Amino acid sequence: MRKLAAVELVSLDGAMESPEEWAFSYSNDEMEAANAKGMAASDAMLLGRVTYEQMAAFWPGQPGGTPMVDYINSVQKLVVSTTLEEAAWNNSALIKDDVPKQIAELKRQPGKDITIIGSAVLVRSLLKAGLLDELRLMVHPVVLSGGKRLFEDGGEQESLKLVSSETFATGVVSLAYRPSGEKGS
Amino acid sequence: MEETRKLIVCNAMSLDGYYEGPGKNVMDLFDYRRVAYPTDESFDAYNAERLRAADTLLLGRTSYDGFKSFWPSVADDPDARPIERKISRLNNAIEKVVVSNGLTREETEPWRNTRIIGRADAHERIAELKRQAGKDILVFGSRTLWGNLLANDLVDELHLMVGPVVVGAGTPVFDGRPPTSLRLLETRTWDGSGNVLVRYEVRRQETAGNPKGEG
Repeated sequence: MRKLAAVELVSLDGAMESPEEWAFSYSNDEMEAANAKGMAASDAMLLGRVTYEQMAAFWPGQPGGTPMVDYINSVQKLVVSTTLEEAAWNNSALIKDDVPKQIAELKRQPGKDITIIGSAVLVRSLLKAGLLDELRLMVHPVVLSGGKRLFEDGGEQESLKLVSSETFATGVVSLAYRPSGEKGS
Repeated sequence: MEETRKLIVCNAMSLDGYYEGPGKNVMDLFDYRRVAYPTDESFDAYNAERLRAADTLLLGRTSYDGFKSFWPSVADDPDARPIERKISRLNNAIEKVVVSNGLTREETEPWRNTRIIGRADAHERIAELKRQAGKDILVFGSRTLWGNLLANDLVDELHLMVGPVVVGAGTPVFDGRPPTSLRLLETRTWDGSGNVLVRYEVRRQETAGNPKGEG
């Protein structure tokens, strides 16, 4: 069974909007190496429409030749959307209906891990449906107090299990959690 | 004058950044332990560690009242867990400073070792405390107070115990974006616990520099 893992750049207070404005200065060789390891273990990306459209507007125009650009442009991209008509970026496919069933089926197919980045709405729905195997939060040492949050206000309580943690020299802490299946009372 | 000791804020926080759940229920941050980590005492143990390194417990009125209604008798409660009795003894023994305009001396019973400072000169009095020789000045809970101290550059370290729980709603830990930057000092995890301790040094924004550099 393939592992479905979400990797999210978040601030200390759980915000995730526009990471290009606050996260990139904390990146270093160590984090890029961890990122490369993640890419090597994954052969498909699962994305929500908003994240997909943002990425599709950016990555195809980037000059190839770097591992990150080549990986993102060539890897299989699966977009969950009921409104998108077509997914034109290289190696993209749409998941329009029966989303939980199709994702469960995808996980049963042979292959490497499936990675989600961004896509907060999708992550929350997969967590709720019990389809997410791992949630990896890259907690940055910044307080944003605003912007879109990974877990929206008014959401459900959810208890998780800590799987591993890793600390990077720039102050980013990578925390991997597994849903415990326990809901709050 | 050179500051001789640190003001350390130590709080629990949910994974989604909350200080307490809906209806100001702080237990929403800890209820997960019953099922997922029944033997987890890491937060209590870390609180005891911080209390031992401190000689002053600085609190806002709400947290002071809450702690005072719970902790004094736990030391002698045979049903309490040993770590709770230990925290109770430490809480009872340490000198407490409360920032409040309304609290009276009579209301500090049975915690007679409490000093009350008014809000108007709180910054000045706390800065003065920090200049005195001694152990750490520790803040538990007291979100409104330390949010204000953080905004006014009086907090030296922020220690957050991040619990493995999404609370979904409630009171956020941070109220606004503080004019400071944070430098990670330490992370800690425990066997049999889903908590992650993240310790940050608080730096003024203008001296923060590049997070990659030494600043």
